Amino acid sequence: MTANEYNICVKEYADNVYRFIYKNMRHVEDAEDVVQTAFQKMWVNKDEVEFEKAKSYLFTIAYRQMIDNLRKIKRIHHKEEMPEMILGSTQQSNPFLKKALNEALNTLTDTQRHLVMLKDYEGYSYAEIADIMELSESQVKVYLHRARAILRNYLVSKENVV
Amino acid sequence: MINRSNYSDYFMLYADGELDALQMQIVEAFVAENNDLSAEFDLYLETKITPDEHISMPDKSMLLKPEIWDTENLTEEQSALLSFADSEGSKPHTTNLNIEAEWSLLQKTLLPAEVVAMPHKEKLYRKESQRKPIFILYAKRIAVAAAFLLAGMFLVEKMTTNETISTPESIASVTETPEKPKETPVTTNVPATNTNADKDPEITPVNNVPGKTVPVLAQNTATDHQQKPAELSTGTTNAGKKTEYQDNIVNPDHNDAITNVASMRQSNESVIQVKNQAPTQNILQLKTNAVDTKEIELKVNPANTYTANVVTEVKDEAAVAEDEAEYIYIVGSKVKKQKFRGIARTINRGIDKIVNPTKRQANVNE
Repeated sequence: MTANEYNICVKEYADNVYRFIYKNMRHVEDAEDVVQTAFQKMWVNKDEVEFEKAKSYLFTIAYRQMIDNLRKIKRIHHKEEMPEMILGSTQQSNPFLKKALNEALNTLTDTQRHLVMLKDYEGYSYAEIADIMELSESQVKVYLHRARAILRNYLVSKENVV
Repeated sequence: MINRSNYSDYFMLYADGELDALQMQIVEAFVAENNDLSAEFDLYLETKITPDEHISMPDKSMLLKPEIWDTENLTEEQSALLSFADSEGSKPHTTNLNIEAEWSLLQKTLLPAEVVAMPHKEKLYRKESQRKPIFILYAKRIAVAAAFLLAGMFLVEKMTTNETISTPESIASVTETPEKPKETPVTTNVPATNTNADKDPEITPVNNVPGKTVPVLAQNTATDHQQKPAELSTGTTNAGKKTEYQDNIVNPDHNDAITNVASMRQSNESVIQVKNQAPTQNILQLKTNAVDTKEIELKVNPANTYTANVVTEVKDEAAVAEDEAEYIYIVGSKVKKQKFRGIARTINRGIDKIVNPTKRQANVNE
């Protein structure tokens, strides 16, 4: 990967990686640090990273870094509630649905939420998500289906009729 | 009981299916006994409308309500539909699921597109590493140019110095401008024991090194209680160099021992020092830090006789030139050219390593 290609990656993927990390960590500075670390590692290893696989590489590095950070945070702040809404200024026109979906996302486990975000935001395949999250493809499929079914059930429950 | 006056009521009840099996048999037996009424009985039966089996309500599945799925035990149809929602499979064909309703519902679980801009993204951009050596290349050129410039300046300065010492014009300029600050005549206190003031002092070389020592001609025109300059000059060297200096010595009245060291710069390197170490003996020293080091001692004896001792270490011109060729002056420091070349070579290697590492690697591989 050349420096020019690296800069293209910054331009094209930095926001995507940051969105994914920020949505899960819900902390601006921590998310920024994670993304910067990911890009720094890619720059250091730019000779080994192919330009075509740069996005997946970035997400993999950033995801692992985020997991490490989250573990540290959880060790310090046990069961700390994060009242901030996961979904920000989205293109969702129905505010009730947006609110309900946000609440539904909060009911997911971290792994389930990561899976849903990687699938919906970035459009990764099961195989790609498996690489990023170091899971088997079948695990990704089962976990993601379960997460989606939980979201679905939340929306159809009588308190959240949509 | 059915008879010929009320049979029409029974016929209609039969057609509507309102009679039980026994009553239906009684009606059928009555029609068989009265054949003239069988045609009328058939008419009642034909009025019965049968339902059309092919007519059904369209999209009646939309009226169904979704059920809660068992997330731990999803059916194959549910998994197939979820895979389709994840763009990982084809749309399933199933009759057990309300596909359209479920599909519409699953679409709502997909996270909507959201733009989140990373702050300070500009920090992540990097410059092309190949561009960095351009500055180094320029620096290299500037360093080489500066080295040449310094060498050129040194040579010009050297040539100018040689000309100043050797040419009669420069000598004249020195002797004609004693009032300049740098060429201020040195005055010292000499005891008033100069009884032979009318005589010209004799200055004879004390230490005359063959081939190295230069005879000195010095004149002291001072008389008692008069302040007249004594001229001191050096003659030609064996290398053909000619240097002439002028100094003014004043004899005061008192006998105090005073040490007065002053300097008169003939050039940047030449210094004349006059020392009065004792009332009875004055020593005038001329020292030069130029290539040819000279030392001149002028002694004033109590008998008012002057002796000058001039020691020169003037080397052969060719030898001097050869020595000079081995040195270079950088910012006033004398550096051996060979050492300078070694430093330059090391710098070059370092620059090449930065500028073209691949080429260096290729050279190593070769």
